[in-house]
Amino acid sequence: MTLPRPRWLLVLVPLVGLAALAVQTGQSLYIRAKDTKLLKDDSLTAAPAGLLQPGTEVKWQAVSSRNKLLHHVKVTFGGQEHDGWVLQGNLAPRPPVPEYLKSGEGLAVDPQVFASSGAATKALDEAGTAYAKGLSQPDLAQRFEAAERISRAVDVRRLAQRNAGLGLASVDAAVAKGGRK
Amino acid sequence: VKRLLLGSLTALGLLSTCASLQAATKDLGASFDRGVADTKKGLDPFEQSVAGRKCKAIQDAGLAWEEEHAVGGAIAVGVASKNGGLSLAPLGSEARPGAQADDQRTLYLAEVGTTLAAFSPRPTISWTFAVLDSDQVNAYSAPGGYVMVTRGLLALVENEAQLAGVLAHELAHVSLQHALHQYKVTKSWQCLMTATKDASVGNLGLNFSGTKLEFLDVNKLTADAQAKLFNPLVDAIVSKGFAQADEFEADALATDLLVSAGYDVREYEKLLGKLPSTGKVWPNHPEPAARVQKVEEERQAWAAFGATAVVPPLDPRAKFSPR
Repeated sequence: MTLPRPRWLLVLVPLVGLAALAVQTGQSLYIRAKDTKLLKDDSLTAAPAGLLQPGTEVKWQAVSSRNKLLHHVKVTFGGQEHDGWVLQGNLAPRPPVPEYLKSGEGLAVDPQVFASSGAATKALDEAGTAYAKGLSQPDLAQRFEAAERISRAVDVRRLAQRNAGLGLASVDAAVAKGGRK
Repeated sequence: VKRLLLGSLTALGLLSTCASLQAATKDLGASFDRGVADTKKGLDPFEQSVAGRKCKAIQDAGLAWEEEHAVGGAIAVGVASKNGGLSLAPLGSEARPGAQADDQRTLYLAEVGTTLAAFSPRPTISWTFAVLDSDQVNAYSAPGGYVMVTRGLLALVENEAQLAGVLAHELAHVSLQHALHQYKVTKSWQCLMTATKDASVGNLGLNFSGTKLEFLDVNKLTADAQAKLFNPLVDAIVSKGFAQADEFEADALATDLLVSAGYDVREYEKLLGKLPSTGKVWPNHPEPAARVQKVEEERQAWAAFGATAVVPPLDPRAKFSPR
């Protein structure tokens, strides 16, 4: 079962006045990765009870005593509350900020639509290039273009392997921006 | 009214950095002065007309990514210019001696930054990471996902967890849109002056397209207007600091990102503890000791989560050869 994505066009999440986030039973966390498996029990090989999409709110319950990478959550879909287990790396502490495009006429766009629009991967704009002229480093705009090119070149799969080797949370291809590997 | 006045007083503070914000308001000119005077009299200048109310709505409306990216890119370029430029070969001159090491250093920053950004509230924007060729210990960010650290800071951090703490803090400023809000306040004043046909020196003659977001194509501004819009913001960044509340908020989100990614937050606390007192440098900046305390509180609030907390060594790619 794949759950519908949050209704980005109708629900705007304000990000002002966020207080310290005490993580306790019932605390809201948010799915960050596309097609996150909601596992039926705290085993990486357990059958999925559903697939959750980025931005979905879940209620955190506890960390698994068998596998600290798995967390017990409750999530509502289909008019019912469901229990399941989610990988730590697929949980984000805050809801995503709504993103806007010039063509969106003031309405927030779905993060995945935003990511695949290509707008999020554009290079330094004319304003930056023009403004760089006359500054202390004449080729600064070209240096920024190099920095952007390198930053976009991060191979997310290789990064996931690197992070796993260091004991960090997984950053998998599911969260890759449009066009990333 | 009080909020409006306070917002106006920071109207030209733009870039989100740990060494900046809250800016020169004089360039808003006579209209701004009249606006403040009206505000003091209990009159909200934005509420005096339908057009004014529309302009005020800019402050709370979303901003198109295209505009944020254009503004942020220009501001990032300006701030880099005042911090030694980028320690990176320009595109097309990769054969320069040391260019490969610079590329690898930038790539390393991008790897750590991308890891943190995946857990941020803005996982889908394009983040750009870069090293500033300055021995000062500092880090900056700009709207549009620009995050920069100085080579001085890279020399100070002892491990990747500390570096991640700095990057997470800057990612948090962008995610929480602290600087973007300041830009929107500035923009709303320009909108008001345009709507009222105010020809004061603070009126840059900006062209608002009339879309629901009042999209402003800064790419099409004259060089003079761009300079007038960006220069005070860049200057403010390099000499002022964010409001304390914004700094604490960025530290709180940074802590959340570090925990989510699996870094040991205590390393970030150690790094903050090594920073000098900010009082004489940036009067608005919270003292490191106060930041350490807040970060510690946030970290302890995550205790039940039971996340791993690792301290990876700093990748050799981060190191510079002696000059």
